[in-house]
Amino acid sequence: MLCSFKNPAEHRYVIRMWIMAAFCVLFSFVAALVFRLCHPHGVLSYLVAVLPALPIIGALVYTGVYLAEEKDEFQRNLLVQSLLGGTGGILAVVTAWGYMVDFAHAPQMDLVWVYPLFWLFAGISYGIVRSRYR
Amino acid sequence: MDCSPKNPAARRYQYRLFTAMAFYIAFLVTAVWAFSRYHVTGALAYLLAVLPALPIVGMVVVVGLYLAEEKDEFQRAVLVQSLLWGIGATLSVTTVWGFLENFVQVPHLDLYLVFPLFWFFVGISTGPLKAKYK
Amino acid sequence: MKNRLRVLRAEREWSQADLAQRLEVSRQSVNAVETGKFDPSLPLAFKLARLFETTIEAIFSDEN
Repeated sequence: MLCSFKNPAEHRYVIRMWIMAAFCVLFSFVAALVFRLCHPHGVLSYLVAVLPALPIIGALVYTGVYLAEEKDEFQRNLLVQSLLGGTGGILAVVTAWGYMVDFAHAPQMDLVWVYPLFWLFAGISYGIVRSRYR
Repeated sequence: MDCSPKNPAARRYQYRLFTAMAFYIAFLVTAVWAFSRYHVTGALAYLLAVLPALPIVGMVVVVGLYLAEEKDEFQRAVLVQSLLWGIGATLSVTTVWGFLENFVQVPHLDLYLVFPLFWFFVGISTGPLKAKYK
Repeated sequence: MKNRLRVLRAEREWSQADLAQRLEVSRQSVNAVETGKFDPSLPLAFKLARLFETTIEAIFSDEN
């Protein structure tokens, strides 16, 4: 899925996802810089803080758009199963980690990592689901 | 999803979910009690901490089983859609909150709350979804 | 997808619930297929065709 684009919908989707990821990294640096140099307060500080999250929400929206646009129902089904696998994986890990932090004083996990971890599990799920159809 | 489902897959699903929920409450109470009563450290602390997370993993498995067992493809599709909306909203919220926590002063969102948050979003998505198919 | 399910049901005086019971699915599922908001899978389409003693093409029409 990542390296060979079979159709325009998929092509558009992958490009959009990479662009959103790039914006997230960029906005993270910008936000950190703004906070260090300008020390914003009040509403402005919240807006700057949220800036890096906007491309992530964009990426999620684009994923939904791709699911609606993709005409190949098999490809669509593969992605849906991957997303569900990612969901199960991330919920299990985050819950276990959360209780370990709360009870056993494990190191805290920054909430922002929930999203990339989700895709990690989705990727693993994709591999498992795809292998069934070899 | 109504309260007296007619088909065996749905009935099994509700029964299993209820069982997992019961174990979750029992394990959580046990963990809270053990940690408040005794000074648990090391590997035992981690094992005890993970205890409440196990029924959560169980619930994830139960949902997966239901999706595999349910013969009514429409009901399956509606649940899948609500799960996808749920994870989309959850990932958005955790990412926004994660960046807020990094830059400004907001109350910390405990990791183990992500799972109930997910189900909340799944729940509120079923309304619009059912309306869509009326 | 457009279909003649409502007509075929009416011919046999089956309600959506009746049809759902015969197909072993929920009434909402029958309604979703009938209103064209949900396309049945091949197995379900074949079940419908056999139930109404006709072919899939006679029930469903692909506008393209």
